This record gives sequence, C-alpha cells and structure tokens, in this order.
Amino acid sequence: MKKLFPIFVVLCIGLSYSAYSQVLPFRTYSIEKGLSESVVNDLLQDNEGYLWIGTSYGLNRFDGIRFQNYYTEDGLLDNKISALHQDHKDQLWVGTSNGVNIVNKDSIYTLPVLKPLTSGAVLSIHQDQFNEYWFATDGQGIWHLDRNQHLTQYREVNGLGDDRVRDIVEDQQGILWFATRAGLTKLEDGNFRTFTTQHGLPDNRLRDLALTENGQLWIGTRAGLCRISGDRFRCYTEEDGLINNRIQSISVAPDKGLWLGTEEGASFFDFDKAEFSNYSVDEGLANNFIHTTKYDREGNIWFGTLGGGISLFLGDHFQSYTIEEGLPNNVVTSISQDQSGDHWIATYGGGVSRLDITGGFTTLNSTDGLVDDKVYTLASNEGGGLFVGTRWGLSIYENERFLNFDESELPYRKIRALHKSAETGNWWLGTLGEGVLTYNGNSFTQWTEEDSLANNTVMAIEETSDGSLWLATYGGVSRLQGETFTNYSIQDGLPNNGVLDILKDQEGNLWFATFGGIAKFQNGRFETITTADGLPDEVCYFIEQDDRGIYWIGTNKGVVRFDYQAFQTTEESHPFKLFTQTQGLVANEMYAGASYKDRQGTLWFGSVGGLTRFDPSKEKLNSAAPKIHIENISVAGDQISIKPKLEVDSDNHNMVFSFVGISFTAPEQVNYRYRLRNSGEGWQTTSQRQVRYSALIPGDYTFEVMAQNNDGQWSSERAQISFTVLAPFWQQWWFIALVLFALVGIIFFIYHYYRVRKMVDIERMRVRIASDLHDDVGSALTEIALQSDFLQTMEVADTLQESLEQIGAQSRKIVSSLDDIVWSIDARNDTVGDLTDRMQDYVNSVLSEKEIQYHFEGNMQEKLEVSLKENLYLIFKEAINNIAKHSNADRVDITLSTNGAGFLLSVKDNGTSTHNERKTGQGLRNMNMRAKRIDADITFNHNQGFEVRVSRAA
Amino acid sequence: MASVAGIVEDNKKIRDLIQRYLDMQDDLSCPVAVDSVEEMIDYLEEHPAPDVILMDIQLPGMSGIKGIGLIKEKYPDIEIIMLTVYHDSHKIFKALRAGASGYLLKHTSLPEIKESILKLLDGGAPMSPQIARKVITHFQDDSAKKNAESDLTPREHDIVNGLVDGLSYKMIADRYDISIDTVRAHIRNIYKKLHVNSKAEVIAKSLKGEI
Repeated sequence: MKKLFPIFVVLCIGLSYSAYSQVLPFRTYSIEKGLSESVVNDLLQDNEGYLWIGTSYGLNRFDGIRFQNYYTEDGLLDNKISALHQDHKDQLWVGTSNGVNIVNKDSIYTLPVLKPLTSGAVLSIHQDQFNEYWFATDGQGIWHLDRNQHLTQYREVNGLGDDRVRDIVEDQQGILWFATRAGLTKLEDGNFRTFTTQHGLPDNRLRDLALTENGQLWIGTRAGLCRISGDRFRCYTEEDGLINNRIQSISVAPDKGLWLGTEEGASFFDFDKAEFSNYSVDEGLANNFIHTTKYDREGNIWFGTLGGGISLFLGDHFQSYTIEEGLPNNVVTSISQDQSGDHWIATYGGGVSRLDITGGFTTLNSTDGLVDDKVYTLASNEGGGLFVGTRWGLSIYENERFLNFDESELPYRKIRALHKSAETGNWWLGTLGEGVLTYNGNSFTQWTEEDSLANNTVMAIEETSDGSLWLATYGGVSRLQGETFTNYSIQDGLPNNGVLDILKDQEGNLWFATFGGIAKFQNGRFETITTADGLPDEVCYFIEQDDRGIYWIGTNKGVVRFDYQAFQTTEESHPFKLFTQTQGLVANEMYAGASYKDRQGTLWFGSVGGLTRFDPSKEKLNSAAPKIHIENISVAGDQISIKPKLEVDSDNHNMVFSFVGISFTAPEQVNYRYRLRNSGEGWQTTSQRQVRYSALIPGDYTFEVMAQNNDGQWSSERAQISFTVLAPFWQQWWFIALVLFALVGIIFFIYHYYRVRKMVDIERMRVRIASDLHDDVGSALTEIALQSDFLQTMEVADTLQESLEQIGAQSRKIVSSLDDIVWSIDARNDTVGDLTDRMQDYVNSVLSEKEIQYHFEGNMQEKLEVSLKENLYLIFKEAINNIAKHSNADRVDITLSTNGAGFLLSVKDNGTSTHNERKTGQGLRNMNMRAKRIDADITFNHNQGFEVRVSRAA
Repeated sequence: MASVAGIVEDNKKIRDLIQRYLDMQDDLSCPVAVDSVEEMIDYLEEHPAPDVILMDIQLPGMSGIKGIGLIKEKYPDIEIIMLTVYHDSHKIFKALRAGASGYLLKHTSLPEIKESILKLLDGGAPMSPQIARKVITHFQDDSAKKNAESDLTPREHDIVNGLVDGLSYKMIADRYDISIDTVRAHIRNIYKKLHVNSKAEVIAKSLKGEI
C-alpha cells in the first residue's frame, strides 16, 4: 500500500528564525528511526514500560531502541490509529478509523460485539470504574459496552452535545465527561448535560480533557485552556502566556502542572506559578503541530506531532547554542563571564562572542581588531577587560578595543592558556610548544623546558594558596615554586603525561584531566580515576566542579557527572553518569579545557559542536528503574517461542537471549546484570542487550536479567525464563540404562562364553589327550596283551608262561586305568546313573564270584561334578580291589545315595581277615586323599567285616 | 563244523594277532581280516558270509557303526560284535542300535574273545548294566512314537531292570524261574527290537524329510 506523505511536513519546513533561542533536550523519533508514520494521533505507555504510538499509518511499540510496527496484515482493522487504551487486564485497546482492536501480547483480535463500531473512527476509549467501556467516535456519538456485553449508542438526540466526540474522562464521583464539537457534555446519573459558550466556554469545539489528581477537570478548546469548577469555567489563553489557543492535548504532570500540546507548539502550565513555559521547533521540538502528549513514568513528556513523529522532552537543565542560535562557530574553546555578568565565548575560527542575558550573541572577530579568529582561550580581567589567547598571539579587549602586540613585543604565537596570578597580579600565558610566559603589564618572560619545565606545550595553569603555580603540559604536571619547577609524570602517579586541564576544587585540592583519566592531587600524592574505575572514557578534556561539589568531566563520549563522594563510599553506588547528545548535550566530543562555572553556579561546556549550558539546580534524577523484558531466545539463529516448560535440544550451540530494559531517558545507557542459574556462573554485567551461551550441557536452567538506568536504579523485578536443555538421546536415562544393560549382558556373555569355551576347551583337550593316550598307548598295550596271550598258547616254559601272564595282566590294567580316566572326563557320563553303571561293571569284572547287594538311592539322572564322579569311582574301585585282593568275604553290600550336594558311599563286606593289614595299605591312603579332594569324610569300620564309608553333608 | 569269523580292524598287529589266534582254534576259522568296512563289504559280495564279524568302531573311511548298519541291512544273519578300545557305553549303545549283538573290549584276552564269539553264536548276548539302563531310557523316550511290536514285553522289561540292578544272567534266571538260555534269548530279542526301533526312527525321519 502506498503511504501518503502528509503535506504538513512541507508547511512546517519554513521555520521561524529567532536569534534569542537555545536548543533544549528534545529527542525526536520519526520514520527514519523506525516509526511507521510521522503523523501521530495517540500515545500510551503500558504497564510493561513500552510506549505505544498510534499513527495515521500503523501502530508502533517502542522500547527506547527499536520500533515494532503493526499493520492491517497483523490483524488491525485499519492502519489509521486514533485511540489507545490499556485495560485492567493489561490488554491494549486500539481505536482505528474502522473499529476497535484488542492487542494481547503479540496477538491482535477483535470483539464481535464491537462490530457496529466499524462504521466510524474511534477517537477515544475509556474504561469506567465498573470495567465497562465507552467509545468516543467521530460522528457516531458514544458507544457503551456494558459488563453484559450489550452495546448501546448515545447520540446528539439522546442529549450528547454532538455526534463527534474527541475524549472521555471520568471524575472521582463517577461522572463521565465528553469533549464534543459542540461543548462539554457530562453524564451523571443517566442524564446528559452539555456546557457550551453560553456557560462560559471560550469555544464549543473541545479537543481534550484531563483530570488532575485532586479532581480538577481541565478542558482543551480551540480557544484556550479551561478549568471547570462548579458550573463555572476559568480559562487561560495566549494572553496569559499560552503558546497557542488551539489546544490539542493535555497531559497531567502530577503535582507540577499540565503539559499542553497545541497547533503551534507546547506549553507547560506550572500549577504553583500559574505560568506557561513555551516550547516550539526552535527549542528542538519535532513539529509545532502537536496531536497528543504523554507524561511517562520517568517524568519526561512525549509529544506526538503531525508530521514530525514523536519528541521526548527531558527538561530544560541543558541549553545549547550552535551557529543556528547565533554562535559564530561551533568549535567552542573557552567560556568566561565578565564583570557585567555577560558570558564570553571563544570559538576556533569565529572569534569571540558575547552572550548577553537576553540570549543574544554579539560577535567580535578579526574585523573588529582581534588578532586572529582562531581563539584558544579567553579570560576576563577582574579590573575590566578580556584577555584572548589566539593562534596568533594575545589580544587584550579593553574599552571596546583590542590591544595587540607586535612580534618584537611578543614573539610567541599560540596562546593556549591564560591565568592571572592572585598573588602578583601578573598574567601567565601557556603556549603550544613555546613554554610558559609571564606578563607583568609591560613585557613577557619565557620559561621553557630548558628551565626544567616538563614540556613546552602548556594547556592549563592554576595557582594554589601557597603561591605555587601549576602547569598542565604534554609532559606531565609542572609546579613552579619561586624559580624552581617540580615535575610530576606517570612515574609519580599521574594516569597520563598528556595533561589537559586543572581544577582547584572547593577544598583547594587540585584535579588534573589527562588523556588517560583524571587525577586528584592531595598531600603530595595522586589519586587516579580511570576507565578501570568506571570512568566512561579515558580522554578527559576538562574537569569542573559545581556548587554542590559534583565534578563534571568532558570526554569524547559526552560529559560525565562524577560524584566523588559516592565513589569513595560504596561499591554499589553509581558515581559516574554520562550525559550525551541523547540527554541534551549539543555534541559528545568536548573541547580541551572548555569548561566554565559562572558566578550563578551555571556550568558551561564547550564542544566541537557548540556550547551547552547546564543548570545543576534543574538536574533531575531518574528514579524510575527500567522495566526489564526478555524479548526473544534464539537457538542456532532460529528464534524459539518463549513459553513455560521450555525445552531446548541438546545441540543448543549458540543460544542467544535478547532482552531490553526500557528507560527512555538514556536507552543506550541501560546496564544489565544477568545470570544463568545452574550454570555455575554468578551475576554478570553487560551493557549489551543480548547474551550468548555457546553450548549448554543438559540440565534445568533459569536465565535471569535485571536492568539499571543511567542513574543507577536497578529494576526491582527480574525478568526470567526457565528452560531445560534436553540430554542427547545417548544421555537419556533409558538409553544409559539400555547401554548399561547391554554392556553387562555382553560382558556376562563374553565372560560366560570364554569360561564355557575354556571349560569346553579344557574338557576337549583332556578328552583328546586321554583318547590319544588310550588310542595309541592303549593300542600298543593291547597289542602287548594280545601278544602275551598269543605266546601263552605256544609251548613255553612255566616260568616264561608266568611272565607272559604278568605282561598281559599289567598291560590290561594300564588300559583299564586309561579307560577309567577317559570315562571320568567324558561329559556324557556325568550322571549318578552312569557312576552306578560303571561301578556295577567294575564289580562284575572283579568280584564276579561274590554275592553283591546294591543299594542305590537318589536321582539317577542327577549330574555329578567330574572330580566328584572320578574320585568317588576311584575310592569305590580301591575298596572293591581291597576286597578282591585281601578279603575272604563272600558278600558285599554296596550303597550309594545322593541328596543334592550330599552323598553317601558305603562298601561293606563280611570278611574276617585282619583289618590292620588293610588299614595301613597304600589303598587306604589313596582313599583318604581322594576323599579330601572332594571335601568328604571317610571312615573305615571293621565290625563284622570291613566298611569303607565316604560321606558329605548336603 | 567250525564257525567262521571275520575281522574289521585297522590296527594291523592286533588284527593279525586275533586272526591268527582264532584260526588256530578248532571250532573257529577266520578267513578274512580287513582294515575297513568298505573292504569287508567288497569281500562279502564275493565270498560266503561269515557267521560273525568283529568290528572296530574307529576305522579309516566308513565308521564301524555305520558299517554295522550297512552289513546288517544286506546280511541280517551275520552277528556283529563291536571291538572297541573304549568302554564307552554311548558308542556301544549306538552300535547296538545299529545292529550289533554285543561288544568286546580290545584288551580282552584272546581266550575270552574266543569264548565271547562262541557264546554269542550259541545264542547268548552280553548286556552290561550300563547298556541295560540305556535300553530302558531308550524305550521310555520313544514310547510315544513307536509301535506295539517294537515295544519291550513285560518280561523283557523285567530282565533289563534286573540287569540294571546288577544281577547276573543266572540271578535273573533264578528270580523269574526261567533258564539262562531263555534270558539270553530275551536279550537277543531286546537287541533286535533296538535295531528295529532305530530303523523305525530312520523311516520316521525320512518321512519328515530330515534325511
């Protein structure tokens, strides 16, 4: 859509020029700063501190730095905004040319019940004490939305003064007042009553209404300002000092007065003095045609203008002068006040200029006899006259004439500093590059580095009560006592050897302004104050002290207010406060030595952009702490929506928190203190409006931020947002559990696998060894046995026969032993049943002649350990062998019972041969040893036979 | 008339010893002693079958157990005695199921070998308690799928249980008031049923497509 640029802008370019004006701290924001349009219809500051600006093309939200624009695309019914109101639920009601919108957070919507209002422009919205809404329209009268959501219209026919209504207010009695084009209508107890010119109003066309805290109703008309008391009106017009009678807007400055916006500038009506102070474009107002005014929470006044955007007025403590106001040149190098009280301004290029009490400048330059227009310094002589130091030497202005010196009298050029000795009455002149000169009224004497002066460039001269002369040079500070120079430099504690200015404070102590900060000289020692201490800039052009004792330091960034007392007391204090162009200075870059305190206590600051006058008595402190808001959060460049239970993925590289502390007095001087709770980091300070975290480890965090305004006021509330950085899936508990589980499983598996495999390997190896032994050795032994058998069938001698038998028997015995080994380690033969089978087999082969009784009990399928099986079998075999070899028994009872880990093996015979023989035998020792191996008890009983009993408890 | 024995044994010395010994006996002859099942099968195709074959288990080429199956298949009348170094009941049992009628350990003395052969031919078949136990579990395990004919009779059960209890043939015969020969006959029968059972198993398996 094409924007129509208002033609008023063109009309307002023809500014009226006044020689007697000064620039005041007005700060203007318009289209070039981001405002959607320069015609402003209404202003509102919401409870969050944001300034809302309704323009003829779009709605704006301003935080001091940035404008957020809203248009019909965002849901507005019309781009022409005519009224703003914030309700008790902090919702913003927006009256447009085409109905009413509600803005809640970032969503814009409409109420269906307000549909009828779309027929005309809504000029004012009011919420009454019952939370019912009243809408003033331009031609449709008043609409009333009651608590039951019923909409009622009141028009002229109902008693309203006119259908075109500009404003609605409600007084303390609950009476509604309407500003119409045909008088003031009040609605009391359901009855309308209208006041017109007949009742004393100067004009029936009313623009704005305002109620003061004490209940006074003020009415802005096209013919002046009126106050109603009872049925009577008290009115003020241009004749009373009002800037213009056509009042557009009234804002109440509590306890102080009224701010009035008119069609020809602004007026402040002071309640106490009943006087008007007037402001126009000449003082810096954006435009003289003011539509609306807004007194903000910091005590500043905003003007919404027709064609000039918005202007913020910070107060008249600063007054500035430039070429436009009559200065001959904007580079102001020195200021002085003469005997008459007029101020003299030295400029570099424009000569000198006298500023009289009316605010008019009278300039004197080379055409008037001044030796050069490039003036470095000037000083008024108590006895009358003015000493002027220029690039081409000294001029003395006396009796409206300049006295100059020829080269033979004064062969030195650049006079940078002037000082009249209180002791001798002689003048001291500091030069650029040529040392310091004394002038006794007749001749000049020079002192240079050759006389031990620290440096030949002398920027400032001061004198102390002991008669010492102090010189600020580019080589440090030189002190002249009598004829002797004592020099102080960095080695002695100066912050920098480039010394630009000297101040003797109220207590008589010297202060030095240098290129590296300031220094106080007291008791022979320098106390330095630099950027490390919080000084906003290192280059200090001048230092001045006001009557309250506050120091003022000129820098490249503006003028610093330095409260030395606060600086000395606590760390929490706010000793430095910077004033810049934003706060009303004419320029930020000051000029070296260009400061002056006049006899009235007013401070004067010279800069490269003009002159600024500061009245310390009008200085106001900003006690309104900034409202702090977290505006957005972005992760890896993508903005994420702020919501409770915010969760951020683990790959949160570059998490950026953007926040704003709203302070319109000095938006760029808001400082922040922030911390991320649970990050292990404490409070940090920054002047940036965002904080970046590169990579947060998983966990719960809370980001908190506070803001401090330029006067050191911290916001009482913290803005905070809690969020959770999610663990990457490989750090989630379930995954860890899973991995742990898998790990344990794998370890267990590997362990088990290798254990089993090892066991199997051992087993296999054992079987293989045994089998190999059995196969090879067994075969060989079998051969021998068979050979011996075979040989026995031959006819051989008896002795040989016996040997052969023995060979055979022995071989078979070995094979049999091997067989036992192979059997015992074969995993397939590991049940109790296998053991009993084997035992029976053995008995069958050895004791075939005897009567054998078996008593087997327990689970025959139960598995036995290899060692247990082997040892039990071998014990058994030993016992059977004993019987076979040594017993005359004819009956054997064999018992084997198993019960879990426990068992009992008993081999009992009924033999009668002596037991001693058996007890001491090798066989019994073997049995003992084997029983020990399997942790079993073995007993040998010889009661009616012999019993071997092996047992182990379960 | 002397019975004829054959030997399959890969250890040449043992084979020769046994062959020479058996040949020396009046009531036995041993015309064939080879070192593999394959050779024995070749021999059987061209010569009259022996009454009994002593068969080693571990042999080059075809294993003895497989050989038993093959030979029994073609020549069911040949009695086969396992000749094994091991007293390995599992292998022995496998052999029995394949059709062997008994087993001998190699280190058994030559006269005992001769005795065992004659005993077997006389109708007796040795069964140790270990084998008997396996017989029982075998028939229990297979009870579900096998048919009535191949099941053990109650008397056969008695005899097998007797063997498991460690009773000698004589004691079994006494216990049930039957002759030792009857016991032997029963045991032979049991062997046959084992064999049949294993065949049935093979058939069942082949029907299921497992072979």
